[in-house]
Amino acid sequence: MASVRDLKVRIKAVSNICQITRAMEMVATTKLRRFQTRAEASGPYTREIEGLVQSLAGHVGGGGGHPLFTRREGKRTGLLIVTSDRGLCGAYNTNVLLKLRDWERSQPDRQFMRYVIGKKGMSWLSRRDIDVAGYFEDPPLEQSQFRDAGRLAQLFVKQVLANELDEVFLVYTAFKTMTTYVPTIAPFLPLGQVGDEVGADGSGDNGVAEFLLEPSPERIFDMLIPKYLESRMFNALIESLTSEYASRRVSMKNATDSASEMVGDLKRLYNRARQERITKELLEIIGGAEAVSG
Amino acid sequence: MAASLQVRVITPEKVVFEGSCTQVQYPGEDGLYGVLANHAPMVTTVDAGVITLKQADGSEEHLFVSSGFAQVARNELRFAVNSGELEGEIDMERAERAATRARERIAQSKQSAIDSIRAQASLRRALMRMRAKRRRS
Repeated sequence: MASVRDLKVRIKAVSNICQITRAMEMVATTKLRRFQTRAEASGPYTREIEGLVQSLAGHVGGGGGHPLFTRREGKRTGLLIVTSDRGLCGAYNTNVLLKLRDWERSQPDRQFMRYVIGKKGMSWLSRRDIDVAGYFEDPPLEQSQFRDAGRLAQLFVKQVLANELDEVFLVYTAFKTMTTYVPTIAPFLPLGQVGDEVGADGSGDNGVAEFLLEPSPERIFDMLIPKYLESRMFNALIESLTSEYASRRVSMKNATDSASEMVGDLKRLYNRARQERITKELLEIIGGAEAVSG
Repeated sequence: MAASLQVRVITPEKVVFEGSCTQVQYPGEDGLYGVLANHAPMVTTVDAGVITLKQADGSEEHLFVSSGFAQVARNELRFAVNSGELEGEIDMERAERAATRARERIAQSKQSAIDSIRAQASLRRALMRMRAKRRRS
């Protein structure tokens, strides 16, 4: 059995870890709340833009002929892979990256251009000698504003229009509930028929035909598409962030729990060892005293 | 009391304004639009500029918005814009700094058309922010 002193050192070490993980859990909880609020705050805007896309789609023939709507023969696929910068968040990164690997294997005829957000994804890919076409680290995801998401969206739009990419997918983590986050691979470009995307045929409940459209339906639609893509990009990013922190919170909570359980076990061992030592010393003293008096 | 319509100004970060107004004026790409109650259904683009809201209680509110869309239907007017600030929230110093920066960039970027267009747009936003704020005095 370990000595009393060794046990003492271990108890100290484990309870230090326990303190750290508890602090991290609390930080993750606050941040999680902040990102959740932001995700919710953007809800009305997203719905408004989607509603407009939906009502206008009918006016411009579902976007047919628009280059961003045309499905192409080519298979140059851009992937935006969203991972975290920091670890200690459970299987969050691994889940996304394994999903990515499996999906890539099932698509042998596609040629992938990978764009990465997050240090963890970057190092995972480079450890495996997988090519990365671009790495976005500035601004870090946590500090990204809506317009940074917009910039990312525009970057991909530009590449598709310049005929450098045929399609773009987002590889991110969808946030369902506090305990469910689903790694997701979602098509970003080209846009499908808008009707299918947002679930309507353009003849929405507003009776769009009666709308006055100024300056012109086409002009509005041209302006609307980038905004629509921006808000989809933003949602993917913020959902990933929320998932990251939810996942980190859970794993830190588990770490704290098992650390404090371990401290309990060690304390019991420690007390027993101490008790044994005292008993032994007592026996020695009594034995000694008896020898003297006898 | 005059008939009123519900107005909402929505940005990706939050809902900036929500209330009932009797008259709204906002900048479109082709000029100012004025909307009263019972306006015909309409969708337009919105350019950077100042929205003037005459509220149901008679008070006036000004707010700065950048580009986006406005949709009127059934006495409801909704703006979906990139950014929107009530006049009280506008940071004059920041706007002035942005204006100076934009002017410098316009001066420098005679060759590159895109830079110049971008700088002009940001100058426009800065000036409109200041205008929204000055209205009050």
